[in-house]
Amino acid sequence: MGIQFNQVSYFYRGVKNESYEALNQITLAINDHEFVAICGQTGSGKTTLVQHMNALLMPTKGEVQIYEHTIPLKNKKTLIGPIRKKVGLVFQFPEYQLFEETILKDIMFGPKNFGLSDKEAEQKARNAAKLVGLDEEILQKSPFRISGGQMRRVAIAGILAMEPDMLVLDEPTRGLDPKGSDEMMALFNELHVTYHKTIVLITHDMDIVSRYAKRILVMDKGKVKFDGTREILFLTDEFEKLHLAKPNAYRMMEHLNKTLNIPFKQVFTEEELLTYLKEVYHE
Amino acid sequence: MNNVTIGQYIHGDSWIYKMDPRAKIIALVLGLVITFLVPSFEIMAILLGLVLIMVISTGLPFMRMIRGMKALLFLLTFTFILQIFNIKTGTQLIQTNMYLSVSSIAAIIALIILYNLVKKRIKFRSIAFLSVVVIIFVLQAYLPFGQLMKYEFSIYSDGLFRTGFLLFRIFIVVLLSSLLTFTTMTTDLNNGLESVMKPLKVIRFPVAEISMMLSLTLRFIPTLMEETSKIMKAQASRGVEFSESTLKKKIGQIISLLIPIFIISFKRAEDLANAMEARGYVIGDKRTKIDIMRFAWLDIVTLCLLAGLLSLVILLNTGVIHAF
Amino acid sequence: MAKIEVKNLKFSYNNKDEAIQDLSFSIEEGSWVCIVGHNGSGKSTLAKLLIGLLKADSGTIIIDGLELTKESVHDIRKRVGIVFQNPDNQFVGVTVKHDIAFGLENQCVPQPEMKQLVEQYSRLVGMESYLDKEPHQLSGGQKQRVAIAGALAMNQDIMIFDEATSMLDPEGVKDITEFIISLNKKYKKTIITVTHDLEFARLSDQLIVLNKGKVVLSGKPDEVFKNRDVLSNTELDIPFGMRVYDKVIKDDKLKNEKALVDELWAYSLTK
Repeated sequence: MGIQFNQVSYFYRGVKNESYEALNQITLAINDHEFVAICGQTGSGKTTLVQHMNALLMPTKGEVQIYEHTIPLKNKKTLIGPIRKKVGLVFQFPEYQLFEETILKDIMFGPKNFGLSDKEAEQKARNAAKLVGLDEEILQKSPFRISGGQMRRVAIAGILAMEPDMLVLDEPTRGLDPKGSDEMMALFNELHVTYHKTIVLITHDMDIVSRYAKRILVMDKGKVKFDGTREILFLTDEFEKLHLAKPNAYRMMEHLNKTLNIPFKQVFTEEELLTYLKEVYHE
Repeated sequence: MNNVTIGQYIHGDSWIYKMDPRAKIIALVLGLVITFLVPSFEIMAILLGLVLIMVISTGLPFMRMIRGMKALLFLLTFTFILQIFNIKTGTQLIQTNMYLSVSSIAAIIALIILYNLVKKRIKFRSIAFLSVVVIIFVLQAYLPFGQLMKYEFSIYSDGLFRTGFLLFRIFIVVLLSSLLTFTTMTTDLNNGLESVMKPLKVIRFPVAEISMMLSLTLRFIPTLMEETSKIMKAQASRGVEFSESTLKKKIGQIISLLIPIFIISFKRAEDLANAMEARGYVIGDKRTKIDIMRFAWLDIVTLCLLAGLLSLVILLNTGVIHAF
Repeated sequence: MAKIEVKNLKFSYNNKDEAIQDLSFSIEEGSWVCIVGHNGSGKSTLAKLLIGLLKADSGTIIIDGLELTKESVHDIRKRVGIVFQNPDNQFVGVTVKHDIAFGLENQCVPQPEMKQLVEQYSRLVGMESYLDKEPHQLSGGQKQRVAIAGALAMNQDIMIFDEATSMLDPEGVKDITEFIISLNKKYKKTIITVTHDLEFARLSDQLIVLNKGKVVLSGKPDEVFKNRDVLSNTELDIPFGMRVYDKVIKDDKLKNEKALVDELWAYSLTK
């Protein structure tokens, strides 16, 4: 099933009541079990787009099909809850949303809001905590007495405990050091591969994009300018206009090709580059 | 979210915009004192006329200024009715029997229910409200069936004058205050207040520090609003439905909003204090200001006029001069 | 005389763990020094100590020939500017104009001079058309530019950037990084950047690597980067180019390919 955008536009009002268009006639489908990365400069509409995916925002024009629900809601009585449970949205710097007395209680907050009993919520919370790599002992601590990286994991566990089918993440590695960033991405990859969750990721980090994403969406001024795989993305003529960086391995490959005349091959990660170099030089 | 600006400032370039903020604040105080010293209805009416002429001369959108009154509508109506019933001097204008009867009470209840059901769809709510109040009285006059109690209702001229006096006074106060807030930027207001309150330093009142606190508060209100909005969205993504009705849940919702904001604010306070100190801010030390305030002829003339008006009113009150 | 001289500095929070243990280094005038370390290495504590926001338990800090003491701290702050990490939490003024003027107001600079300085330095950072804008209308990068303008207007020779780009988006990072470099190369300021980003640190004149409150490496970037073993113990992420270089020289076949190795070494230091 997944999410289907149909000619969705979104306008909002500025200071003098002027109209800004954040999304311009977006038609797009995100299917189950995908791993999609969304890239684009600040102001391109990425955050507005993903906030439609869990019905935080309603389209000004057009409609969005979110699994079996449609927004805008035809019937004002329909509860938004089920949509928010299906699509879990993790904001930037999600550690700011922690507030409970203990980490366990905070992770339980989401499930409890969706009607689970304390006992059921606790079970889901413990599972989620384990999934993100939090130790049992930490669960009784206050969420404000742990490191920033751990706080982020608690926040993500809070969304995972809701057991959403789709996980949408807005720059989940922003502000993390490289080690923390790797661990976080490994978690999402596992959720994708082992637990078959659909992952939608907003990120600027092209290394992450090319390592993990099977499909890349590039947005600019409210429109989707590119929708395809990493191989096609870096070879497309329009690449300059997309204002994206290239992954580290890719750039090094281009450099070595230019300076040492090593035949060019698309490599996206450190491992791929090294494997290729070994191939080339072992002839 | 760029659609929030601090304060109620409306842009313009008429004479009032050129006034020194200190002069405007002192003028407001003088204006309020004058308003509360005016002894009679006739003079209050003249004063209202003068204020209206002044407001129109500034080019401010009149309807915006009246909006302040709308909020007070219920209070004003209540005052009106109270005064009407109490004052029984002057010439009698209306005298009727009013009946609190089964039919009139039933009709009044039906009217109130109807009003509450319909009020969300009406455009001119103030007029509708006033109409309902008038009809409540008319119903009491014309429905004596099933009479429970009868009383006499009369309106005297003095009652009308007294009510007019009070209403005009409130109107003038609202207009004068709006004049200040609509034509003065919050930074200028703050600077003006700080300057005007300087004499309080003598009694060790921390004028400059309060002014800095006010300035920081103003600076952070839009930022805090954005952050609150973000946290609301984050918690909504965790299943919080902010239109939930049960009290217990509402408390839970508010806590999920307040605690993160508190945490952000405490961290902010610490960082800000460090930044201010690092940039050379020392509490109590003398500072210059980038905004200049300069008294001009306009300010002097305005204040003199007001001082003159104040003296006139005082003399009127003490009977030295007689009016009418 | 070095511009900044730190001798045997010691500091601990609540006398528990020592955040800074016996730190000594010096910084020459006009140089760009990068203090690197992972979170908890003491680097932000050091920045706060240099500006007198924290008081060292022992040791001396001498800035411009003046020792940092309770009496001299106000003088020191006239000579050292600092830009912090959170763009919002250091933006004091109601508008851009007011924030740039804040430091000048504190020094009782006369109004006409202030007005001129504010205009001049807002122009220098490209924010002259934003003078009446309120902070919530600006991006993180723009707010940091305003902070830089404010420090420049104070005409301070020394500027400290405490993780000033950590909270910015990629455009903002590029923007501010370019500014920092031009402040050093073009305006000849003595710059101290505190960061955990070794990629950025490669471009500086001098690198001081902190680990658990101690200086473990110090010197020019290319010399410092030769000490891989020490670096890997600091929990800092080795830049991509260097990681590839390290793996290549460990591979039996590849390590003998001189052209490749040389090219990778050059790349690791510049790109």
